[in-house]
Amino acid sequence: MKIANKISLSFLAVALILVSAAGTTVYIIVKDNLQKSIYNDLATAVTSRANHIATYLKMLEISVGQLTKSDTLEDFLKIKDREDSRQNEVFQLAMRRLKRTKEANPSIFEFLLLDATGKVVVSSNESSIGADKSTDAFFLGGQKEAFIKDVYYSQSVKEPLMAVSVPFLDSHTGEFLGVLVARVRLNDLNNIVTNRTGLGKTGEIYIVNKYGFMITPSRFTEDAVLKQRVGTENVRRVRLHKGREHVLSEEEMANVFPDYRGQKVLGTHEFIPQMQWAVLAEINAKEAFAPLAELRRVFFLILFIAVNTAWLLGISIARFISKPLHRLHKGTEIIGSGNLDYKVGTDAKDEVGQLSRAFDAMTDNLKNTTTSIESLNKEVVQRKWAEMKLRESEEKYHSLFESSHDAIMILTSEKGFISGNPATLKLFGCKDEKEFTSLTPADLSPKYQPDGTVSSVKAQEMMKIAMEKGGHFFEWMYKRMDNTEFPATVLLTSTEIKDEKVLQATVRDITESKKAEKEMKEAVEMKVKFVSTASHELRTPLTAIKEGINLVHSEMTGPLNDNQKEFLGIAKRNVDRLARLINDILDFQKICAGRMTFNMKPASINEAVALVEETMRPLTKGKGLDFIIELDQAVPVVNFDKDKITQVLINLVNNAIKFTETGSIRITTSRHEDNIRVSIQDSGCGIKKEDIPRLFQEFEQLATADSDRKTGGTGLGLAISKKIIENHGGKIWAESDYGKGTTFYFELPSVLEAILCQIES
Amino acid sequence: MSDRILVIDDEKDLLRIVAFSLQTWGYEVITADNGQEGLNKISAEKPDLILLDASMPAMDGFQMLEQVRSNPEWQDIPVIMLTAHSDPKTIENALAYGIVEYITKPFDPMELRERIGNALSHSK
Repeated sequence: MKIANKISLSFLAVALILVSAAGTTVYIIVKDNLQKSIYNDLATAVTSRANHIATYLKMLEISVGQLTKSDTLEDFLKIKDREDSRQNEVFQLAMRRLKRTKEANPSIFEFLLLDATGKVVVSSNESSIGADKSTDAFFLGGQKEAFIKDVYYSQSVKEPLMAVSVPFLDSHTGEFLGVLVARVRLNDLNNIVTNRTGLGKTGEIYIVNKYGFMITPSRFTEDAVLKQRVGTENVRRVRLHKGREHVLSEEEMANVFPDYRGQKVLGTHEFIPQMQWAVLAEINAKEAFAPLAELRRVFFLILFIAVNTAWLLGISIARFISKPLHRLHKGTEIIGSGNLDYKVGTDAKDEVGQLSRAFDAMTDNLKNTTTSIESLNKEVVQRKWAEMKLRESEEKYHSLFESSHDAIMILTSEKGFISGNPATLKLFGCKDEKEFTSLTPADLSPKYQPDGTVSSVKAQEMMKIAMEKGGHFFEWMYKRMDNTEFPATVLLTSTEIKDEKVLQATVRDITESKKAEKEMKEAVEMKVKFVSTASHELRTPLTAIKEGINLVHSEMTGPLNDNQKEFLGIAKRNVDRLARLINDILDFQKICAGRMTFNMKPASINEAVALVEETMRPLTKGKGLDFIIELDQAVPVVNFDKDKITQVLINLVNNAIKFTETGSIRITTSRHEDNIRVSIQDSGCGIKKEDIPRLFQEFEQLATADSDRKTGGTGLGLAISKKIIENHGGKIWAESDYGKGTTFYFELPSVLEAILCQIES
Repeated sequence: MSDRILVIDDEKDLLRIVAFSLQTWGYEVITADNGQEGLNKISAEKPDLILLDASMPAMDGFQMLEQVRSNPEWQDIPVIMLTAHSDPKTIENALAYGIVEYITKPFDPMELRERIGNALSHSK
């Protein structure tokens, strides 16, 4: 299980426990208090009612008792005994008295005055007179003291009644005269118990008699009096404890139990010992505990919120804790896969931060250890490799030495030759190596080298250079054993053999290549000479033709007709072209053969451009082109041949004019790094990109919109320009936007380096 | 009616000279100074003979000849090619294209006249 989940769960559990415990405690306390308070209310109500009932009963007894003090009634009882003539009169008085009393007290159903035998002698109700009540409880119970007959159902009046009987004694002798009985309706009693003040919507107080029947009305059940049996916990406790309630704890007094309807109620009770009545106060548990239900809801809401908050808090704290752990974990994986440069790098101040820093430190140590082991391993491998290479190279050297076509020899300046390979022996014509090693370098050279130096002196000098520089390459004239001489190249390299500094000489006979070189040089010279001669030879007849045509064309020899004049004009134009072509060819040849002399002098490129402008302006004007000159006055003065550069400029401007029908030609000078840059921009037909590389090749006339030949070009102008610029150590190039125009650039280096054109034809 | 000759050459001086010569010799002359114009003129003027310069920019004589020969209507028009190249291989190539005559520059006007006469009489 992930730490995050563990933490979240722990939070959840803690929250659950805390909230549950707190909730339960609060609930229990509240419930307890609530129950107590309800009970107190109930208890107060029931006690007050019970007192009220007791008082009421006492009051009944007293009020009936007071009636027994009545002289009228006493008289009547006494007269009756003696068959007095006044009997009827007294009877009437007694009747009136009882009636009056009854009327004054509406809850009194009737008064009965029984004589000592239990016979009704006077009553507020005439119809009751004469009835024998000697067996009735109120007669029997009321003979000695005041007695209250429990509620009973009166068949005659069809309603529940109770009766209060008080003994009637002679006020003088105390002799038992009879019993005064008041049959009482239950209105007052009912009024007492059905006063439901403080009992809410479901609370009720009712009385259960000793037989377990309800004697006051139920709030819920119709016609319950003397019919509804009540055998609930409440009643059971009343019977059990009778008058000893006060010793019971409150918990025992107040209880939740099912009432006579089976509904759960919270109830308490009072006992009226006189009547053995139980006064019961009950309230529906549901109503009583309604605040508890509310509390429960609030509790569950709090629980829900607490759990969620705990979960969220747990998750965020878990993230907070586990994030650096994740990084650490990722770090271990990365480092585990071999990347020791990885840093976990948390700067947290807590334990995880400490751990990650310790981890990084560990990685560093590991890396250092690994690196040192690696470098050690590497060194071992390198050494082995070097040894192997050495052995290999020794073997290779040996086989090369033996089989080489080049003569390879080992020598020192002191000891002379030490060794020579088979090719060496063959080259010099030695019989064997022994003969060769007996010779000195001087023995194998003519006395003098071609430059006139003494061979032995020069040889020492060469060896010294080779020893100092580590190597030296030069040409040498050798002498074979048969005294024939041959030129050779020598590569002297200093090396060590068995801790001794030696020289290795690789000698190559260059007789053949020298010969070939010489022949080539001669051939080139011959060709140059041929072209030069041919061109010059061509010039002679050409001059004659040209002058001849000029003569006729200028009509010095007589007048010409139009056709004659036209065709002579054509001839003249083409002869001029031929002359130009020959000049160009000569120039090109000269420059290629390196025979063109450059008269390099410090000069101003701006002046050269100004000169060209002057020369070319009539041509641009004639074609209606703008001729724009933009000179950078800051360009430095550099060395160049003014005539040649002017030639290049004229050639480029000429080309521009030739290929531009409308627009402008612009010459710009500028400084570009160390170079002077000149650009000639036209708004002409442009050059296709693929044609640009061929521009500077000799005799290339590009298939542009118009033929070059039409314009009288020789196809050599750009080739010559290129040679001239290159001879100055500069460069020339072109950029073009086909159809929009071309720009030619050339640059001259401000620090001129003489680069001579060594081009073979 | 005189024969109609189309002369195609990018060298205007030469074109002028040849045209003048041909007119003098009694031919009707049409000129074009590039290959494309030449093709247009063939189509428009239906020449009896074509005098074609081999080396021209953009479309050279051989490329043009290829187009002329690939058109069935023009297949039978005799072509005389003028060229500055006298290399035998070039001549051989040119003949393979089905031209009638091949004349190298510089040429003798009389030779040209004779060749043209021959070519025209052969094609009739």
